[in-house]
Amino acid sequence: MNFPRDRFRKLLMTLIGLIFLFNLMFIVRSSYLQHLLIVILQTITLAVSFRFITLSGQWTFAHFTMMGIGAYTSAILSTTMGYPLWISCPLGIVATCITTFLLGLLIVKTRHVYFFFATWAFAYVVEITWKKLWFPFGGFDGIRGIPKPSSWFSSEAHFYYLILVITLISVTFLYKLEKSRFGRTLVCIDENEDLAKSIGVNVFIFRMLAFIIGSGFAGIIGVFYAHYAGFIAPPDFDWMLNWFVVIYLISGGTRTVLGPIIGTLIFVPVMQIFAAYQTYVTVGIGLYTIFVIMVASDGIEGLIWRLRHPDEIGVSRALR
Amino acid sequence: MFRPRLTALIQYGFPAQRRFQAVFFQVLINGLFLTSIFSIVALGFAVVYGIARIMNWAHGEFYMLGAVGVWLFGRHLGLPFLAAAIISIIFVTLIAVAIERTLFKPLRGLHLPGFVASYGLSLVLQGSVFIAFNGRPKSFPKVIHGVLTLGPVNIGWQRVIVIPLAALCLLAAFWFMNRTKYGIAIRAGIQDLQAARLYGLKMNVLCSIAMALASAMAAFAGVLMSPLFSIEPDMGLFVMWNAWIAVCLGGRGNLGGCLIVSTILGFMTSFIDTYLGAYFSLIIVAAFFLVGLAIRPRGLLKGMEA
Repeated sequence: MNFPRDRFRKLLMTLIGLIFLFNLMFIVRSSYLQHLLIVILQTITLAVSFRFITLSGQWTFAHFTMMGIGAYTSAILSTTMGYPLWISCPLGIVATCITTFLLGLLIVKTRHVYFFFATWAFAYVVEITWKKLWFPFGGFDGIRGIPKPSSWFSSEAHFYYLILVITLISVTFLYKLEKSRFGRTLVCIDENEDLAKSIGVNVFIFRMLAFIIGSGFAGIIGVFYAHYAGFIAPPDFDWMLNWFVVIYLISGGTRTVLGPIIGTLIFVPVMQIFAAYQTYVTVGIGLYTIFVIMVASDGIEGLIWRLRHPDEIGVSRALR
Repeated sequence: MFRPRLTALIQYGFPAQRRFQAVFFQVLINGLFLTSIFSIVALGFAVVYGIARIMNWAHGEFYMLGAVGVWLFGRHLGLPFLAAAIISIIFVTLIAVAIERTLFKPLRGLHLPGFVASYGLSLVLQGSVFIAFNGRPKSFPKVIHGVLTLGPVNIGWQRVIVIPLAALCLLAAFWFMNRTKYGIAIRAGIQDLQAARLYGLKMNVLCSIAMALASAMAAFAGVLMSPLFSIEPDMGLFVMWNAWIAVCLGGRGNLGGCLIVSTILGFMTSFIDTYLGAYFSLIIVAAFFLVGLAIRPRGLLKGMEA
């Protein structure tokens, strides 16, 4: 069989990577580090799905809020209403998609910064609703005693396998979707909306679908988070966290799927290390954001790519 | 036995109706007060957005720095209020122009990078003030004492005086934009950047002047607010939120539309705050914004092409 050498190497690397990821729990025994790995994996899925939304030129600011909607729906259904998990978890994802659809009906026509700010307004309203409404959402106290998926999930290591599978599937799915005709249409809409309209693309439906698919993955992560943590409260989905996703993305780069993954891998541990110095973290994040925008607006991934291909110009997809 | 109560009724009218009138007029004046603050901040924001095409989120921080400056020079260093106010406005203007020359110059015309960088700047300014204040909000004593009594309505003079001062500030700004050489040049730049450049207008100078005007107005609003509200790092957020909605819905670069929408927002906030509760006003204003964007994605009034 004529098997290309390059492809064989790629396959081997993937296999080694998978074996490493699936055996990581035998190396990392500390329960705190296991928790950190879970947080990193779920943030990777969030950042990658966020990047999928930005493909069509819409920078949402309600990604953590969408995650929160999934988490709250599943948590309320499984505690207060007493439904089993195989009903509550899919309903959480469906609720996220429906909310995104209704929000999208209002604001998908707006562009760039206005979309950003309109989703921010939505995030703000939803957070206030969670805080003020005691009856379904539990107010500031949040919701306690959310059941675990089954008795097998007794420690962090078991949840690690679950989130690993979710992350691998969703990152692969979003990567394939971006390479497909659908994804390329989205990039086309971002680059020239009038041109896309003139060749018969229904811009509204495509942007809406991108918004719904991206937020749907946030909903999946939200459902996972609710049942992993067992307790959710409004500060878990604070609107400042929406800003962090943007920072992961701009510091990693938006050109390929690798960008948000690199950004998350660097940023989440750094934030954990500096968690004790909250007052200085705000200033640090601000300075870092300004630095990234001024020096490398296509992120670390774009920087590496430019170093490796010094003579190619104009391919990188910088922030617009 | 019933006589005293009856005479009271005849003398002052029915209590419920009378209370309603008093609260209603107070809410009306409060709405005017909020409108004046929102419109000063929003107008500067709209001018900078029009000429430099940067959605400057740090504009709210200039408002905050104006109030912090009053506290710093007036309370901490013990200068009289007027001197503290003038020094504070001058300082904020200098800081803003320095920021414009260094940070915003390469980002002109880029929507998202401009917004993200200015948000980073806003975090830096907020965080620095938070560290300097050690996390405790400060307050400044009232400068003008006494209460204005108009029939059933009682309102502190400190609050009332904001309205004519803000109106004066707006008049001065409109005089500058319509009557002076540089103001007309800025308006030309807002209408058509390319044509203005062809006629030889220097964008660097105009952007700096616009930024100086905007930041001075924001700092003036902060100075007016400093004896009324507590001075804290995130006090700019509430004002900036409304200024942003005013600019988005009022047609970008349309200064009159910006004033109209800030008036609507000011009265809306005041009425809903009083009759329903403060949280509802945030929700209803956000809903107003989202529905407005859904109906007219480019603003309710005619603005420039973004």
